[in-house]
Amino acid sequence: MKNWKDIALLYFKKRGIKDGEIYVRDAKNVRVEYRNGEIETLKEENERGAGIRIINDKKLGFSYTSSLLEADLSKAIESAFVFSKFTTENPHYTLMKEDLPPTPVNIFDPQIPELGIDEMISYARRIEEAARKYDERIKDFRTITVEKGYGDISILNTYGISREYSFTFIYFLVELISEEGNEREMGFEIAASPFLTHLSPEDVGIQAAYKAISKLGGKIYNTGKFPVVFNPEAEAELLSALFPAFSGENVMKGKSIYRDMIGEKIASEIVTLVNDGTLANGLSTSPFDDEGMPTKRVEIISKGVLGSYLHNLYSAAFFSTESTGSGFRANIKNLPGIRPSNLHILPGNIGPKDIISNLSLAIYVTSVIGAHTIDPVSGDFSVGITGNLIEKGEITYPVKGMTIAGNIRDLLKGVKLVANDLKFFPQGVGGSTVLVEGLSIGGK
Amino acid sequence: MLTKEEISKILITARGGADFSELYFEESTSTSIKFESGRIEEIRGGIDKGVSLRVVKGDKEYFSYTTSLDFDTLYNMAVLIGKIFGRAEEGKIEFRDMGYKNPSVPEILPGEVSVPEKIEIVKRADKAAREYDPAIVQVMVFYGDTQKAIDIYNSYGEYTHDDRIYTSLIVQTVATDGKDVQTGYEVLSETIGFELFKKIPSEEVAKKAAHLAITQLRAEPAPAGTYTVVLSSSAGGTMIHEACGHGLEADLIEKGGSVYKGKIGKKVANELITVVDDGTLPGKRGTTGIDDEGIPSQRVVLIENGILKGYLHSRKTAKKFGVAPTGNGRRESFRHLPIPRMRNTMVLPGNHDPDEIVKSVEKGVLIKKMGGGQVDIASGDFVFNCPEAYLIENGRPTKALRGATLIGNGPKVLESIDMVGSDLGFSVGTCGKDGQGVPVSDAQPTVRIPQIVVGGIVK
Repeated sequence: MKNWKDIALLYFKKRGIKDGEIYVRDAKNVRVEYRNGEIETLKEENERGAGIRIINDKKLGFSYTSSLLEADLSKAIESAFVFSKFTTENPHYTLMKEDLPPTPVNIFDPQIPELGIDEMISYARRIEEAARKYDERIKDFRTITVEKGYGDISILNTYGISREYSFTFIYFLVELISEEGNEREMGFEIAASPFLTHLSPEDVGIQAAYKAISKLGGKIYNTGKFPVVFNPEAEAELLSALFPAFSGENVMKGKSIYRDMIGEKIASEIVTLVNDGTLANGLSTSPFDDEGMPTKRVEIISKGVLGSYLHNLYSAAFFSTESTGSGFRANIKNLPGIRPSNLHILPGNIGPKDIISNLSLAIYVTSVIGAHTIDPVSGDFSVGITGNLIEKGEITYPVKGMTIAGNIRDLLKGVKLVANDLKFFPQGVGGSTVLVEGLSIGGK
Repeated sequence: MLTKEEISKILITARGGADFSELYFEESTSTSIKFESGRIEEIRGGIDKGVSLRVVKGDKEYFSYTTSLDFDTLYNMAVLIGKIFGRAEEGKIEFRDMGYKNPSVPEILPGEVSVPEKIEIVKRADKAAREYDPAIVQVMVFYGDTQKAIDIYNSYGEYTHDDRIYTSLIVQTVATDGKDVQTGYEVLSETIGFELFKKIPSEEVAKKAAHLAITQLRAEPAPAGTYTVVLSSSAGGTMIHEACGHGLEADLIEKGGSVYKGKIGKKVANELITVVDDGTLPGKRGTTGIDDEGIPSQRVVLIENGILKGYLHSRKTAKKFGVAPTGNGRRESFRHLPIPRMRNTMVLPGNHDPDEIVKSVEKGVLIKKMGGGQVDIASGDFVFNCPEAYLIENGRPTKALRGATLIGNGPKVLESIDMVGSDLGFSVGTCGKDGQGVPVSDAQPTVRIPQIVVGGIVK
């Protein structure tokens, strides 16, 4: 049987395609969903497929196939070629042409492919035990998920680029319920890493239990302007929602509040926002992006000043700049868009407790509800929050059913302190405890 | 393709000591065109094929899928799953072709239509939207077609097959008068082929989308308050789908997440109300020949003259409830587990003349189009945007209203509806649940809700 590389090159050549690219993803996932002491669902995924991109006289054709057999692959190349005759010309479409070396990173843990189902179940058990031990008010588990994945990403194009890498990941998720009297509250925790030993099932159980317990007895507090402390998770959720404003493609289409603002001060001086696809052991670290371009460390904001947007090859060509190695695909069926890699605000030197102990009255936010509704064009937002009140330097009773409203611009400018507790979450974003001043809180 | 013997061997090995095993093969071919600001931004297409192996024992489900369709890959998956339930039986399964047919019969397969012909449909929509009114400044048109072939084999020896076609057009418009910007949106989607555009020209879809943006532009802010609301059939069945239908899905009943739990045989709506979920309506977006577990599609009565009759079931929930499956076990693709889902869900027409319903209202609000919203499925509480709404004064629709929202509770609304029209209007969508999207339609006649909160501007 011919391998897909030979087949792709053969059909690109047959059709006289000068700019042709094939992206192949070959991945395997095993997921265990555990409940009441046994496996509730076991899911195994074997995913293999290719995306074909052709640029023909500045016109783009794209197709995909879940089969790499010659008959299917050649048909996909033919489709992409046909489509490229009809799309509208755009001079900025381009493929990777120069053989830039991949970033030397390791994101493969040989233990993960070997990890058996029994071991995965034992991790789920440890999560449950740790949560139950943390507090006896933890009564119920909706689900405990342990998932492992591994595979290879390959890219080949007609400019002689041919590269691939292997990856692994392990993922824990728990959703549990605390109960006191008639009140039930949910606690939720996710952790993921390329490396098995970097995760602790006990920590995941304890964190979820802590969240569910600390919500018990929640009240609505007063409406007003308060200093707000976001915990790492809440900060990461806001960063995720803000990310599209820094995407070169959005800026290009005028869909960003930060368009035409390079060199301007858009955040407080202590904010340095970094996207770093090269971060050691990072969950969204990789040697190159889904166009083959090496990943980089990019300061989007340096000490409050907008330094760079994130680019794939297309937006980079539009702005006559270089790709930041941010061209990632949602799956084989989609063109490379722009996605974050270990996006985070650089942590500070202060501990989260030291931030809280200096506040006489503030709101501590542990979860943001509806962060995706933040309008990336206007920057306006109004989101639900849950968390606690901070009184006289102490975290006191839980608050719920409250909102924060404002504009993202003011949020970034209002950052007063960033703590040293940086933590990464799935979706490629990290957060630290941060103090923001003067936000409008809606309550009673 | 695997031989029957190979399929039999995989199913027996995977089942082991479990209740049921199943192989679900799917091949899906799609083409889509994205047209924006006069440019063909993207034409995309491809083939997606794969197979999933599922084994069920009681509440437990073991599931694998692969895009490699060779025997060895599938057999290895079967061995892995089979081990969990112990002893694999010897023997061989003889398959019977159940022969179920899809009620939607396409005339022109989209795969046999050339790309330029598809582009022509898109361009005509763009032109019609722009010509509708000079205030239309931006038009986005999306064309999509999918052909899906499904083959299901199970350890009961049942073999079923379905061919599904989806042809769709979406038009989005932006209108401005220099100060304000408003958008309009219209979708057409049926389970027929390219002949769809002979039946309903793309220009018509475009004009509706343009009309919505223009109406909004010239509308007055909606007054907040409690009103008598006439929900026109043109609004489709979004409300019944979201605020009632989900609560009738048996998995949600089982998890205790529905107000309809334990209410079979009880009165849950006004006696004028009959709700059915019907997967057999030719051409409708939710129509299938079989569900994604090989159960023939059918018409299920959920509420009859106000009395709750039944729920929507998959094989798994039907077994648990001790009833026959209803053909509602659906999945997005071979990558997903089947769960109870709606198909074409509707409130059946009544006896009132729709015009008379509007005339009966002295002061109220007429809603002609429903938009997005938020629904708490457990309680049925909902908020919907109304992209097209009018004030009713002395039995006549007068001013167009902007920014109206409808706020209420599904079960309570069904209890209070006091007039049901003789007409029926459909809306289409892709319903999301547990991270899976499936094509659906929903329908409703014109109805009168005597009192409901309309959100808007507080005066």
